[in-house]
Amino acid sequence: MRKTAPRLVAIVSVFAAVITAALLAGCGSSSSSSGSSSTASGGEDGTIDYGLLTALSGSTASWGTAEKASDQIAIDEINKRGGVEVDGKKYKFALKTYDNGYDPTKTATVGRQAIEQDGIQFVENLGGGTVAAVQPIAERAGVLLFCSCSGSEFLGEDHPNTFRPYYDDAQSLASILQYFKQKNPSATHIAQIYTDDDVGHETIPLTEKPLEEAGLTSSVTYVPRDATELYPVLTKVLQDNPEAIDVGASPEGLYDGMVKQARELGFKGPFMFPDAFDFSSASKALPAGDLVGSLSAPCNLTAGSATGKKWAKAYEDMTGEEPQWWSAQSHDNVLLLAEAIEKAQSLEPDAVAEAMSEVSVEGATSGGGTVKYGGEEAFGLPRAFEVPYPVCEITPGGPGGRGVQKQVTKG
Amino acid sequence: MTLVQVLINGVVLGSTFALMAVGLTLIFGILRVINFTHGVLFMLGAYATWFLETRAGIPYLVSVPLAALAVGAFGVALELLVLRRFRGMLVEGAVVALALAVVIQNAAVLVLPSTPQTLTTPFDSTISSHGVVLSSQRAFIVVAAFALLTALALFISRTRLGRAVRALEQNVYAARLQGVDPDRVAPLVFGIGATLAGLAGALIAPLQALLPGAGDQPLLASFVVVVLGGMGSVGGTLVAALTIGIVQSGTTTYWTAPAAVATSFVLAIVVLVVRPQGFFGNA
Repeated sequence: MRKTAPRLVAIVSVFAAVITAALLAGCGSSSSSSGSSSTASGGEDGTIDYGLLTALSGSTASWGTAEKASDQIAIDEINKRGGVEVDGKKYKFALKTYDNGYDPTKTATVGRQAIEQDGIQFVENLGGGTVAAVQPIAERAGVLLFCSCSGSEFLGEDHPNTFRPYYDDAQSLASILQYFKQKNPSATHIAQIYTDDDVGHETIPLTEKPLEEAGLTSSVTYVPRDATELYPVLTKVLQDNPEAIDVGASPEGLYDGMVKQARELGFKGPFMFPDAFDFSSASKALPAGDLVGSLSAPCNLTAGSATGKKWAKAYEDMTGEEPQWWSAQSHDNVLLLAEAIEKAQSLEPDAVAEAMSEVSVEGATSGGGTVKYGGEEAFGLPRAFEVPYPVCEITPGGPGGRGVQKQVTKG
Repeated sequence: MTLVQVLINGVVLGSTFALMAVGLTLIFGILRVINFTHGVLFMLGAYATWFLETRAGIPYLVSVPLAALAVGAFGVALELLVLRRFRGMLVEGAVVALALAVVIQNAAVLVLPSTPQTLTTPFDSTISSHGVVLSSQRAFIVVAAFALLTALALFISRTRLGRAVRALEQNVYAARLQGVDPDRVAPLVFGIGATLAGLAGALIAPLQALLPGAGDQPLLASFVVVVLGGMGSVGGTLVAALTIGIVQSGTTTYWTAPAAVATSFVLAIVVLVVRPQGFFGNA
C-alpha cells in the first residue's frame, strides 16, 4: 500500500501535465464559438465566419501575422460599410484564426476544427506544403478553400471550390531571371536551394522553362524547411560556383540562415527571392550588406492607388510594421468574396464559387489596381490571381549599410 | 579541399551535439529520466543570450555564461518541482518531460517575437585558406566545447561530488550506503546538464536565425549521440557526437541534406545491433 500512493500521484501528475500541455498547445488558435459559419434569423443581422488557417508559430509565423492583419483590414472595411446584403438580410464578417504552424498534421487538425466542428464555409489556408492536408476536408464538406500559397497541383477542374489568391512562383522567378540575365549577360549557372516538401519539389519543374528562356542552367538542392545548420549544404552548392542562389519559397528563418552562412563561406553573388520576402525583417536580422545585390519579385514598395495607400496605412497602424505587400492578396481575396456573395445572393459555397470568377475589385495587390481571378490564359491555371511581377533589387546604402530596396522593373 | 571543409563542418556540428548530449546522458545516468526538455533548454539559452545582449545591452561574452547559468537554475527548479517525483520512472518521466517541453515551447511562442531574431558576436571574422573557410564563432564553439567537456570530465573523475555522481549512476543503493544523498546530487546534475544545454544554445545562437523551435533538431541529434556513445559515458558521448557531426556533414555535402538525419539513425541502429551498449557504455 505504501508504494501505491506516490505512484497514483505520479500518474495523476502525468495526466495533468499532458492535459496542460495540450491546452497550451492550442493557445495559438482561436476558434468560433458559434456552431455555424453564417447565422441570421428573421430580419436580424447575421455573421459570416471567415476561417483563417495560418502559421502563428514556427519559422513562418511572420507570414501568418501579416496574413491575419491583412484579412482583418478587409473585414473591418466590409463591416464598416454595413457588411454584405443577401436576400434582404445584412451579414457582417468575423475572422476566426487557427494556428496551422505551417505543418500538415496541425493543418488537418485545425482544418477539421474550423470546417467540421465550427461549420465555417469560407476557409483560407497558408502554405503549399499544408494545403493537401485541408483540401480533402474542405471538399468533403463542400466549403470554399482559398490557398494563400505557391504551387498549382491543388488547382484545376477537379477542384472547383479551391482558389489561389497568391502569385505564381515560376512567373515570379521568370521576372527575376530576365532582369538578372539582362544585367549579367555572361551568367550561365545558378543554384536553387528549395524546401524538401511538396512546395519545393513541385515548384522546381515549373522553373525549368524560365531558366531555359533566360539561357541559364541550375543545380538543385533540397533542404528541410526547419534546417538551421547550412554549412554542409552550402559547401556542396558553392562547389559549382553559382552566379546566384535562388531560395524559392523558403521561410524567413531558413533564407536568413542561407544568406548569412553563404556569405561566411565567401559567396559574393545575389540571392533570388521569388516568394514572400520581408526585406524589413531580413535586413535587421542579417549582418549589414549581406543582402546587397539580391533580387525579389513580385515587389511593390509603394502604393500605386488610393486603395493601396489605404491598405498600407491600415497595415502599419494594425501591426506597427512596414507592410508585407504579398499579404495584400489576402485582403483583396476577402473583398472579392464579399462581392461574390452579393452577386450570387447566396451563402452557398457552390454559388459563391461560380460568382468568384465573375467579380473584380479595386484592391491593394501590386500596390493597388483591379484584382480578379483568372490565370487560365496567363499560366494555364483557373481560379488563380493574375498579378504583375515587378522586380526589386537591394542596392548599397541605407541605415547602417543594410541596403536599400529599389524597384527596378515594372513587371 | 572539400573533404577538409566537410570535416571542419562536421567537427563544429559535433561539438554542439556533444554539449547538448553530454547533459542529456548525465541526467539519464542519475535520474533515469529521458529528458525531453533538453531541446527547450537549448532554445532558452539562445533566447536568454539574445535578450541579455539586445535588450539589456550586455556584451555577448558576458551574456553567454549568464544565460547558461540562468538556464541551469531553471533546470534545478524543474528537477526540484516536477521531475524529482518521476526519478527512475522511465515512461512516466519521459511523458512528463515531453509535456513540460511542449508547455515551455508554446509559452515561448506566445511571449517571444514571431520573426526570426539574431544576435551579434565579437567573433565575426572568417579564417580562409586554400578554399577552406572557418568562421571565428565556429572556431570559438569548438574550443569552448572541448574546454567545457574536459572540465566536466575532470569534475566527475577528480572531485568528491563527481565521485558521488558516478556512484549514483552505477548503483543508487550502494551509493546511499556510502552516504551519498540522491536528493542533493540529482538537482545539481540536472543543473549541470541544463547549463550545458543552455550554453550550447548561447554559442550556436549567432550562427542562425532564432525561433522558438531552435532546439528541436539538436535534441533529435543528441538522442542519437547518447544512444551511440553509451548512456552515461562522457567520453563516449564526445566520440559519438563527432562521429554523427561528420557523418551528417558528409552525407549532406556528398549526397543530400534530407538524408543526413536518416543516415545518423541508420548508423545508430547498426551500432546498437553490433554493440547494444554503444561505443563506451557498460555492458
